[in-house]
Amino acid sequence: MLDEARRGRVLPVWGDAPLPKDRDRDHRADHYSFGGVFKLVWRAWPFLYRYVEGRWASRALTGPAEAAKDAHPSGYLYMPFLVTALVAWMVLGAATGTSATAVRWSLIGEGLFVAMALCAWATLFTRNQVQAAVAIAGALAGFLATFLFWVTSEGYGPKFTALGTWAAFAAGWFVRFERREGAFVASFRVGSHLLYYYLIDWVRKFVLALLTAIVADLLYKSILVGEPLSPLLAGIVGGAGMADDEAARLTTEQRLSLQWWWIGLALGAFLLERTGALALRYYSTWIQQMINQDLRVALVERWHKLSMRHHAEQRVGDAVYRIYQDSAQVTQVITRLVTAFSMITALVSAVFLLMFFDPFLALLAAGIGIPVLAWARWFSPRLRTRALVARERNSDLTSRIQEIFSGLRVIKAYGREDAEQARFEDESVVAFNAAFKARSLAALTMIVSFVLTGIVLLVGLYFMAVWAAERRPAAAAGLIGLVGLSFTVWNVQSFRWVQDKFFESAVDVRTLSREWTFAQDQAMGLHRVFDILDIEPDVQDKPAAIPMPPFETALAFEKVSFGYEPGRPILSEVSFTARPGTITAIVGPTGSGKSTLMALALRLFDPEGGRITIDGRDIRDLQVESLRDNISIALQENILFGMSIAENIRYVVPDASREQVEAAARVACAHDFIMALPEGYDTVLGDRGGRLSAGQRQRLSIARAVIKDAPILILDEPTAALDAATEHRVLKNLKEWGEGRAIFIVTHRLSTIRQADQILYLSGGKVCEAGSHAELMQMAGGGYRKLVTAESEPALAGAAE
Amino acid sequence: MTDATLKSLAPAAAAGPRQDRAEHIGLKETLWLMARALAYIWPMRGRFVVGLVLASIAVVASVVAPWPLKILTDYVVLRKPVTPAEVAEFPPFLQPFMEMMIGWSPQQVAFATVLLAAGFLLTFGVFGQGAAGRDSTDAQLAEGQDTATRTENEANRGRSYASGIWGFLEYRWELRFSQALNHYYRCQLFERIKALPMTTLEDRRIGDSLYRVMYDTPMISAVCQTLIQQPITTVLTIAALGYVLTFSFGDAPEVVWAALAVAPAAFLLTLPLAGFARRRSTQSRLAGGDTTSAIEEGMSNILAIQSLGGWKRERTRFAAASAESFRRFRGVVLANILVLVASGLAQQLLLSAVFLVVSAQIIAGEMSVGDYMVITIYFASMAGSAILTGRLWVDLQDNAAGLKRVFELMDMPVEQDLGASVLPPIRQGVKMEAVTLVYPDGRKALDAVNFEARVGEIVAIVGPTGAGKTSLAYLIPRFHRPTSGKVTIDGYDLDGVKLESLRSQVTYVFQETHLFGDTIAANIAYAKPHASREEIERVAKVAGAHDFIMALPEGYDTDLGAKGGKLSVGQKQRVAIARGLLRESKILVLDEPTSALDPETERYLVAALEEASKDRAVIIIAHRLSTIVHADRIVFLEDGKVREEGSHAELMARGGAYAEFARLQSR
Repeated sequence: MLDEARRGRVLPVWGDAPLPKDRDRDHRADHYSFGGVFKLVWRAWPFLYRYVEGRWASRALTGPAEAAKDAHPSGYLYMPFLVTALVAWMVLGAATGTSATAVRWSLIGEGLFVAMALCAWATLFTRNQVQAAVAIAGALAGFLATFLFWVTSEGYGPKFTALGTWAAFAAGWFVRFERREGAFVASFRVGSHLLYYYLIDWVRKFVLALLTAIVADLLYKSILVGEPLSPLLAGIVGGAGMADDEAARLTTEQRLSLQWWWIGLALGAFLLERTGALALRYYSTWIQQMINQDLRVALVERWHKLSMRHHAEQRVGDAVYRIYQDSAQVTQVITRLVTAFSMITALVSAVFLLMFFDPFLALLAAGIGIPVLAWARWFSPRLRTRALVARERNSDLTSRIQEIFSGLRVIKAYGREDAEQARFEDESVVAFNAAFKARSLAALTMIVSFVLTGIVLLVGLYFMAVWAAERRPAAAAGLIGLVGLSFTVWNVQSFRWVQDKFFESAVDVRTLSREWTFAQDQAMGLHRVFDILDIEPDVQDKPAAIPMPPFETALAFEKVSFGYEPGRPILSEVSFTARPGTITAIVGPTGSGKSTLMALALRLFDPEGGRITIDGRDIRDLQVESLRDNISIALQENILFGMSIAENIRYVVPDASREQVEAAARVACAHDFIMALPEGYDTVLGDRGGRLSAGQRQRLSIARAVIKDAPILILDEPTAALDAATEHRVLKNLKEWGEGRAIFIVTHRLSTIRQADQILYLSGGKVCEAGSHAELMQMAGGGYRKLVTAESEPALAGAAE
Repeated sequence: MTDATLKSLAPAAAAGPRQDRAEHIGLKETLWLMARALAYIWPMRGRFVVGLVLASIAVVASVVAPWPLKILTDYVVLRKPVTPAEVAEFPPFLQPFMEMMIGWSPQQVAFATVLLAAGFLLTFGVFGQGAAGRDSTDAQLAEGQDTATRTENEANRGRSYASGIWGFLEYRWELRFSQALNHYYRCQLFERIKALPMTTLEDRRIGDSLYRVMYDTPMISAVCQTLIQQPITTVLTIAALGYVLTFSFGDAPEVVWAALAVAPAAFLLTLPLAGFARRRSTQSRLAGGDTTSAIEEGMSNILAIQSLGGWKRERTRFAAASAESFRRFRGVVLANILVLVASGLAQQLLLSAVFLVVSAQIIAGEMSVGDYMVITIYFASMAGSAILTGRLWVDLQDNAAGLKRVFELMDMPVEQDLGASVLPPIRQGVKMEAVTLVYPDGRKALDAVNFEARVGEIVAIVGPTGAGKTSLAYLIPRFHRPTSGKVTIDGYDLDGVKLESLRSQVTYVFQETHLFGDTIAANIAYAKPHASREEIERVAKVAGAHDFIMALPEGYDTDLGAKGGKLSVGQKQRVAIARGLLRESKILVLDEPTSALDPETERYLVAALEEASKDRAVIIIAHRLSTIVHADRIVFLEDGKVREEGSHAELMARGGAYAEFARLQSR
């Protein structure tokens, strides 16, 4: 037993969190710059854009929904015409019958509508992201215009016309009409969730601001001070008398009765706001999950397409870590970008407003960012390095756990539990230390940013307070009046107001620095994801690849050479031909390249020299998937999955019926033992098919190959774990079943080899002997003959005794 | 296979086998889980108490510090002179500072106050109200939208109410505390999983165990850190705010009481949601375990998937599992949303009560509008703290679900090491008397088997697949325990000896080889890490592995990578045999050691085993006649029973089942 108390002490509270030298990184090796981080974000953009763009759904189409990209602009050609017509009608007809002040506002509204119409035309001549930007700008202009019309015009006619005009613009994005096969087809765009989300959020904030203003008005003006209500509020409350201009002040009873109105309204506003905000949160969770799901699946798919060369180096736990923790970083990219954008806007406007009071102060506010930028220059590479190391060490830990669990039998058998526990604990300590360094640095960056901005704030505060004490006039007193503020001299109100703006700019800068801090970690997560996605699979379909035609005449290896590593050839110039209806046995010493030969036929790797042909066609000209569909294999290592036996057998043919499953199991002589299990075919296997004996697993694996019904069948040591009697039965069944197919059997067993029509004797990566059993036995001093003698000697001896 | 069929299949694939269906966690069990979790603080109590003190000071400091702005407004902007009467209205800790400034000009006051603020800023990171004037410290990095991806922040939990130097130190302290706690907890779980008996392990999915070790254990830090800390900091925050309130605006006890009442109100309103939240979290974790299994199986078996053309199937399986875990997490989000609405409602209702009282006073002319604003600000900050305490219970339900999954595994019966005595060096051999073995699912693997293997002989176990050969061999290192009957070594009942002393003397070479991602030399020397290179090479030669190892560019130092992927199955088998031989234990069990070997290597190995068996007992499970004939004794097993026993010649002469078996092979 390990010392339990030690566990509590290995992570000391004070002092350094040491990392082994070889598992650490130097920040000087970090090659990402400011731009590099954005490049990574840009790399993630296609995964996000999918939910801006959405897809087209139409009633007439039955096929899969096509990507929105494919839409031809003619589909929404109607929109600019419609919008222009409506805007023209609005502009010519709407300005009548409104009061003088309202006219000014509705003029602005009309201007906005004209801008929207221009945007509508612009969408015809732009593409992709630019088009999206133009469309968003138009939609915003339309929203504001509609709002202005809604507020200023009297009567519902103009109000609804405005709304309709805006809707017509939006329709261009959501609906298109096309002529297809002589008929007009309407399709609708669905799934632009990111767009919907921010639109709804924006409207929500707008409504909320209005609502808050109304409720605050009721509270501060009427209840607490006693001024009459605005007509709108009076209408809601139902006390028309309280809105009278003549009644200078409300009575105490009226104010007390309004208390309950306030409670009701505030509660209503709260519920509306909370449920609205939280429903949106649910929506955004869902969108982010979809984005993440796409990235996860892309990762898994890429791994499945990478050849075995890559997988020899890939740790399983690392895959788990990348799929979970690294890919998850994509979810926050959009929020980060939106926050950064709004912070920059807020900062600029705060600095702009401060300019009216004092240029020095504005300069100070604008300059808050400078020390933070200098600080960011120092911490960014360090933070990225620490974040990357933390991710790598946690990934190592995940891998270590997975590897220990999968080797647990051996560990137990060799009594190495304690040693493995110690290795695990060391790994855990390293992972925690790496995380500690990363997080501690992240916390420090934020604290220093706060202190730096805080010092600038205090300097500014000092001057403001002193100026206010001196009643100094503001810098641009004339301009301030224009903006609609009444302070022209520094006093308490202006001190408070300016202080608010000034502080706000500091908060903006800090939020930006905070976002940047997180973005470093996020970038490293994305870096680890795109590292994998950027690996091009070395076995790929050629552009002109065709599906494999039905197998007819021969599978041939023509001078095939191959090695996993340069300079270490496994196969050299191997040639042979196998025809349908024959059994080819591949024989030879361990490590002579038998299994590699079969892997090449499946295109798990591509040969370095020579070629493999099926019916005379190079298999590299065939689609990988159709090739593998036509070859069925039972592997030497009997890998089963944690599903039911039936599911395991129909693994690659998921739509196979129960009868087909049972038939395949019968061929593999597995039916009887399966039926003897309490749950029969529905017995769920543990990880790696535990619970079954090796021989049983082997037979399931053969059944899985049989059910695929492919014209080429490869059995890699199919009978190694079977007893002789079962082996005979299996082989007999396979021979019957295999009529008309080309069967390859890799084996050491004489009894199996004898069934073959052709025997290839492989040694040192070369086909040394080829022919039938009888032919090969004729070769005096041949490798095959030696093998047969070695194998049958004892048995013959036994029989003789 | 069309996409449509793949889709129709997805739910079935996603359902997969789950060893532990979600069972509902009751209230009592939840309390018990929390109590058990809290017990983990004990070994780290010192650190915990220091952390508590650090946090308390940070809370009080960050509440009490924001005076500079008031001083600036009153004595600089409004040019009020600092007088002894004014000084008396300040809290005691500020009085020396204020006294110092009596009679100073506004400029001097401004300068001193800004310096004081800078001092606060540096030490506690606070000099005013609001986001600009105060900061708290944490480093909650970006996280994803399912339970697994949210655990990194949980395992590395830490926060301080302060910023500045104090905040940095406290943050590091809290972070280290939760890491230490997690490390401790995680290691303990890991140890327990390793100690599970072989039968349990063979049924466990690695992905699920991985999920529990990595993503369920971090739930402990929230329980230990917030369950005790949160109520304390809430009371401190409210007390400190009340104190400040008293100095600034006189007594306003209603506000303090109303704020305090938010805690029980939020608790009561969220209480009905606790069960809902717990269930959502349990389901989310379960789905996460399935997703992890899907990834793990898919990646571990990549060779099989590529060869079988199953990548589409695997992608669908993973996509379905992952979508399911996302869907389940949305359940957690929903629970969270309901909790936020309910607890917010509590605050809003009490705010209404405060409003009624205060606005009535304003209408009556006893208070000013400014007072109302200040009071609501104070109420909001107090209530914000109280609400966290009120929500504590429901917030911890997520943790309870994770803890349950951890403790559940910890409580599973581990391999019982009943043995008190140490098995002395083996001299005679292993003996089984009327051993019966029944699997948990009711299948009878062995039926009244008698078996013996003495030091100095080779015993072969032969028989059809599924006859119980491996089950029998598993009894020797006590991977299985017999349901009835007795297994003894040198007369010692295996149940009575220490496992460690038994397994160090019995070597088992498995049928399916597993190599570690280490060098070949390290793999061979696995059980004997300090073995010399000569020893390693000697056994490698015996196992027929030396030649191919030397042919590798890096020889014995070749790193086998993640899955030993660079070697062929036969080569791996030889490395595994060498590993077993190096140990030189008195009992050597080889489960089909020669199935993947070519005859030449096999013959060499068998000769070596014959040599080795002179001073040890060698037990071989084999189908190959060429291996079997060399055995001193052959045990023919069928349907869990011993059918025949004897040497090859004897059994051939008898002409029974074994003779038939041999005949079939040499035909």
